[in-house]
Amino acid sequence: MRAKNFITLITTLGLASIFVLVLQPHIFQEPMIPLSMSSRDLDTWWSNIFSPTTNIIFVAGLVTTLIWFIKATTSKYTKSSDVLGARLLWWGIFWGYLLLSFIAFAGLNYFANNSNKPIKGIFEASLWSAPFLLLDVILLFWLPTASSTPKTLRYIPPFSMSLRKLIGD
Amino acid sequence: MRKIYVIGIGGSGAKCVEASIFLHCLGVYGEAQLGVFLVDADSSNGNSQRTQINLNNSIECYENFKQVRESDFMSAGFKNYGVWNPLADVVHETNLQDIFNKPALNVNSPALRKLFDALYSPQEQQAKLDVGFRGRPPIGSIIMSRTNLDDLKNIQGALWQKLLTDIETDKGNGEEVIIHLFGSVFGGTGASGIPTLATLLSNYFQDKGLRSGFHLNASVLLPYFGFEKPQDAEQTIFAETKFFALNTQAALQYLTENANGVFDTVYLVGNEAKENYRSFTGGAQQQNNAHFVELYAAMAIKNGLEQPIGQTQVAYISRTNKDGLDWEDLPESQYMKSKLAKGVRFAYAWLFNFSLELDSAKQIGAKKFATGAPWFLRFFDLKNPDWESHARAKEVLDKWTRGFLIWAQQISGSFGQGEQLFRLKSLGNIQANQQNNYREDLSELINDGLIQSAAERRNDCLDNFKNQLTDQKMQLSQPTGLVGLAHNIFYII
Repeated sequence: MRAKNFITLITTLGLASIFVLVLQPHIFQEPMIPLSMSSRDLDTWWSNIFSPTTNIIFVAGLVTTLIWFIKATTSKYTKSSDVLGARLLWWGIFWGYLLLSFIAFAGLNYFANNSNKPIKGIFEASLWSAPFLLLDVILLFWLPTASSTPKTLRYIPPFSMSLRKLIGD
Repeated sequence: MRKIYVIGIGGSGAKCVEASIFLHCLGVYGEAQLGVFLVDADSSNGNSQRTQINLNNSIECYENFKQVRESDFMSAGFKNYGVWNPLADVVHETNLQDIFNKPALNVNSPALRKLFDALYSPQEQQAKLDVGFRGRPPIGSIIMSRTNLDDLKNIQGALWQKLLTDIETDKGNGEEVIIHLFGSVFGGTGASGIPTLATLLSNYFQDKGLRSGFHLNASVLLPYFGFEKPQDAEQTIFAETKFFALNTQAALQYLTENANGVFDTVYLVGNEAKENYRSFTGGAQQQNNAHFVELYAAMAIKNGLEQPIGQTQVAYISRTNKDGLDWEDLPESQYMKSKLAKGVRFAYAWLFNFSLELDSAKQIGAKKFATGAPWFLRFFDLKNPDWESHARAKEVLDKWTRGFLIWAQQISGSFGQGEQLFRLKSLGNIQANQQNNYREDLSELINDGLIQSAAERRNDCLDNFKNQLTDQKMQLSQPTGLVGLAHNIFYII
């Protein structure tokens, strides 16, 4: 793996981490979005549902990105058509990661809703948080893989050719 | 610029010229123009024809790929003077009796007729010479000795006129000139042609006061192959292995006694273990596999450039192990290994991968293809890959790499059962097996006995080189397009 790829990977993962772990809590806890739930319910929703979900997404994001990079670094390809076959793998990892994130989020919501003390406004909060969780997945998996996948698989993540041209690679 | 004129005499001479053409394509002779002149009484001889095909492919390849001056591949050009047939002036007479008009000798010079009968058996007198000199030096000698360069030079547009005029012009322009003759001394055409033509050339330039200014060298092939009686028809006069030693002895004796002052350096190359070829008396079927002896003969050109002019000397070289041929056995072994190994790796990479990949790119579209082949973006415009302008260069390079790999495969298999220098047997029939036969691993191609680590072997693959092509900034003057791609592959591989 080239130093340039490594630096880009660290940078994109750092930016994604700042968004997921710093900016995103700030957006919901301030709150900077118009949530009607009380601050007590918001705290409960945050600590019981959203924070664990983002933690799972963050860790899963690091793991899936690592898997992709190991694959990209160690694999050898004879021809372009074989390389194009790796698109299936990338999308498989992406959808698997998204599905895991959705299951974690839906599961935590389900258990919170069916507990003795249901959180008021949970549906509204979930609706607001869903796009953010999708954005987390994109930032934690697509951005690092599209910008810094090494070697032959470098253009397999969607839009990676344009993104890498944009960042001067 | 240095000017090298190679004269291949007979079938073996043509095969040596073939080797020198390939070495020249790889830049072994440095910045030089290679002029090629073949001498063969058998115009349909398979060896000469194959050399002509590879020469024409190399010329076309040079025309398409010559732009990149920093690359050793196709760095210097060629000039094809064609094939001179010493029997061309007597096309209607097909045997010695007719050529020397024996009925007239009976009347005008009975003594000469008796000498003619003493020197040549009735079968030799009547043997048809449209297939060459049939491995009989006496037949070749009597034909070759009729040659008069001054007469030949005066034939407007003729091959000799072009050759001699060019040499004289080059000398006049102060260019470094080397004339190198190739031929076997155990057959017919080479054995008779080498001493005769060398003497004629030396005397011709002596008369013009130009002899001291250029090298006149020769690679003389001693027996290195054999064959049984020809399988084609009821031949009575044909090359026979049993005469090879006698022919060789006579030719060497002639050279010893008469060649002093004619040649500057004579290289004697042979092989104790004889390769067995199928036998045909001339014609297109007489197309024998390339042999490492011819590679040695072609390498002598480079050595000859460094030798003194005007001091006739003889050079010979031997192998360290009679059971095999190692890179260390070649003169300037490291230099030759670097050039030949690079050539084989390049040709293999091109023919069995990059060429097929470009076909695939054309088929599925440039953008989709580039997604799986990042190197493609470095050399081609995705919106306008301009397939039409690259098509000819690709076709030419395909032909050249195929011809070169076939030659290298034959060289590697020319000694015993094993493979020498290269490991190419696994490619099978290269002519037929290219399509859809992608290859990737380069680590097994060169037979150098070096033990590579598992990591080194794993990294010696085309995927790695493709990533290098994508990531490295090349310092070549034409970095893009198919020409740029080929030169960059040659540069890094």
